[in-house]
Amino acid sequence: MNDRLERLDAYAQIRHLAVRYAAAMAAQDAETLGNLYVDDVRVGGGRTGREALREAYFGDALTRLDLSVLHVGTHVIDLDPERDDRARGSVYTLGEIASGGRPIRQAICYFDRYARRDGKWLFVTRDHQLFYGVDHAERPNALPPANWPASDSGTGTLPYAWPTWPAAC
Amino acid sequence: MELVERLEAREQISQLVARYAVAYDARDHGALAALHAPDVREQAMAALVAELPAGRTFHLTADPVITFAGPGAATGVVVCRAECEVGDEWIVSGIRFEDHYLQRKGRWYLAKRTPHVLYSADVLARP
Repeated sequence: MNDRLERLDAYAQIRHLAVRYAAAMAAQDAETLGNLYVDDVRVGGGRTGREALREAYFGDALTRLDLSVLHVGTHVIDLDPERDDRARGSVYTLGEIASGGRPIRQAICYFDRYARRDGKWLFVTRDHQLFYGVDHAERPNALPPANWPASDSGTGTLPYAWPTWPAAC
Repeated sequence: MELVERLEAREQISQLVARYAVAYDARDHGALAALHAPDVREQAMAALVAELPAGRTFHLTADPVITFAGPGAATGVVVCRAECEVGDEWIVSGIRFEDHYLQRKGRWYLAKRTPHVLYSADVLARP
C-alpha cells in the first residue's frame, strides 16, 4: 500500500513541478526557479548548484523577457521501474513570450529528468526542444531553423528528431 | 472502488491521454496501438492510420475530466488545442474529445474517442 501511495504522490508532485516552473517564469522569480532543481544541479562548464543555475539561466536571460506566459499541457510521466527516486517526463508547453517588444509564440516539448530528495521531487535537467518559435503575426510553416537557444524563432528539432516521424518523401 | 484504486485509475487514464497526444505527434504507431484496448485495437488503428495528416501536428491537451461508469469502465472529456500544418496554412483547432476507457487485466486503455471541433481556422484568421 505504501508503494502505491508513494507512486501517486510522485505523479502529483511531478505534475506540480512543471506548473510551478511556469508560474515562476511568469513572475521572473529566479529564487523559486532555482529551488525547483536538485541542490547539486549540473549547470555546465563544470559548475554545479542552484546559484550557478540562476546566474546562467535565470538572470539576464530571464529579465530581458517582457513577458513569459507558459501554458503547460500534455505531461507524460515515466517513473523509473528500477529506482523509486528517479523519473523522466515530456511536457508540452505553449509559450507566449515577448522580448525587446517583439511578441512570439513557442511550441515546446521539455524532456525532463526528475529526482526525489528528502521526499520532494525536483528537476535534475530540463531539455527545451522546440517545435517552432514564431512571430505572433506569422505562420510556423516555412521558417528557417531556430537552432534554439541561438534564436527564439524558427523551425525546431521536433517532430523531426523522433525516430518514428516519417522521413521526407 | 476503493480510494487508492480510484486515484490510480485517474492517474493511469491521465497518462494515457498525454501519451496518446505525444505518440500521435511523433507518428509512433506502436505506442498508439498499445494505448487502445486489445478488443478494438486493430479496427481503431486502421481508422486512425487512414486519417493521419502528412504535416506536423501539436496537440496540447488538458487533463481529462473523468467519470467512472461501472467496474473497469470510465468516460472522459479532454479539451485540446490542436495545431496542424496543412500545405501553406497552419490550422489551429479547439477540440473536445469525448472518450471511453476500459480496464483490461488491471490496465486502462482507450476504447473509443469522438472529437468535437469547436473551431478550426488558419492561425492568422479569426475564428
